[in-house]
Amino acid sequence: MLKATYVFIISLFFLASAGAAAQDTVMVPLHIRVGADVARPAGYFLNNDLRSFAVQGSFEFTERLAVTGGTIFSHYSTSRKSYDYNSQGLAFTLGPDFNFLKPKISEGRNYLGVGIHYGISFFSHATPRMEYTNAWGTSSLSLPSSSHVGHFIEVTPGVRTEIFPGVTMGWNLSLRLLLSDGTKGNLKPVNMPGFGDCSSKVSTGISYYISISIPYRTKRIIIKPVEEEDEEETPTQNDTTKGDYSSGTTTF
Amino acid sequence: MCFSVVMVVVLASCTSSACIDDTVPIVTTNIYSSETRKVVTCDSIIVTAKSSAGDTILAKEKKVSVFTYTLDPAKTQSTMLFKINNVTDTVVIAYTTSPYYISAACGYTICHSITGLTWTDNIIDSLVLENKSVTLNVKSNIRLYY
Repeated sequence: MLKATYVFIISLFFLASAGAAAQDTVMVPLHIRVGADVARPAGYFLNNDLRSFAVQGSFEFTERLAVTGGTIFSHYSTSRKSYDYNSQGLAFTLGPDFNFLKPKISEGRNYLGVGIHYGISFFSHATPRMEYTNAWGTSSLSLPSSSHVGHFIEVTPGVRTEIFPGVTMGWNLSLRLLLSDGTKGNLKPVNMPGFGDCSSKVSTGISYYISISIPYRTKRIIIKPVEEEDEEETPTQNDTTKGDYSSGTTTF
Repeated sequence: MCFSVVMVVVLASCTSSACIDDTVPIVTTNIYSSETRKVVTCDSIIVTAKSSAGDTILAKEKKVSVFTYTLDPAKTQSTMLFKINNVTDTVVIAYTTSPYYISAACGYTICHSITGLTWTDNIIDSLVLENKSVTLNVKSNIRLYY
């Protein structure tokens, strides 16, 4: 419910930004951004088995393209009726983020887009207790700790906006596809850092990042007005125009 | 609308659920006629496990052409009595075992790979290994000819 409220507030902010007056030249600051996922520590209160922290950094190459890298630490420990399990490790993600907003709407402060990231997970896991029961009886065994390297791809649609100068906030969904859990056998991880439960090839999640944005360059984007080619109507002063963009850069 | 659907999927995935999957691998045996080599129905079949803890009935069926039973997860071979149409044979299945993770809700199970079959021939003509993997979704492991 709280997340939905934040989403609503952010959406309103974007709508307000979209209504801003048109201009011929837009100065778009490009940023280096570093942030932390506040949803992960908060998630501990919903699921005591998982302690997870994530930080993320991104570098904006253009007003539409940034490269984002993340580090996720995860410690998972669970005790169920038929088994005990624990895993811990680090995951790293890296890939491009594409901003779908036009420069005069984003103004270098707003983001509505999608990221496509490759993820690699270094982890160890163990099953200290496992019980299996059938008509013959109950069998107990334990599986010692072993280390593995897993791989996954994640698609992260989301939004972000500047709440204070230099501070941005935004959320994104994480839709992940498991490439390999690294175990090369039947015993898949109950929780792989960065991915989650490996009993399925896909997993989902949500992240809520608060970031510090440092502008390192300002890019000037010129919007060339193009008159509509509608010869049947008499031109008026309120004619709508389409934007065409060209750009230049200004370095601090 | 689209956003709502996505949120439901995301939130549902975060919720731990009860185990609804099959968790016990079973050996599936189909019954064939040794004369015609075609699938036939027997009048009755009772499979009894012989173990130190006592005998346990693993399967008891009437008028069937296929029956299923489990293997002892604590050992590498299971000795069973197959009572077909009131005639009893002893069947020994040798196998390897390996744990298999199903899901967080269901936990683990133990799968097998059959390595050998031996039997007495009071009523059973032969046993043919069709699929050595004893997992959660195998249609046929053994052909029983009688």
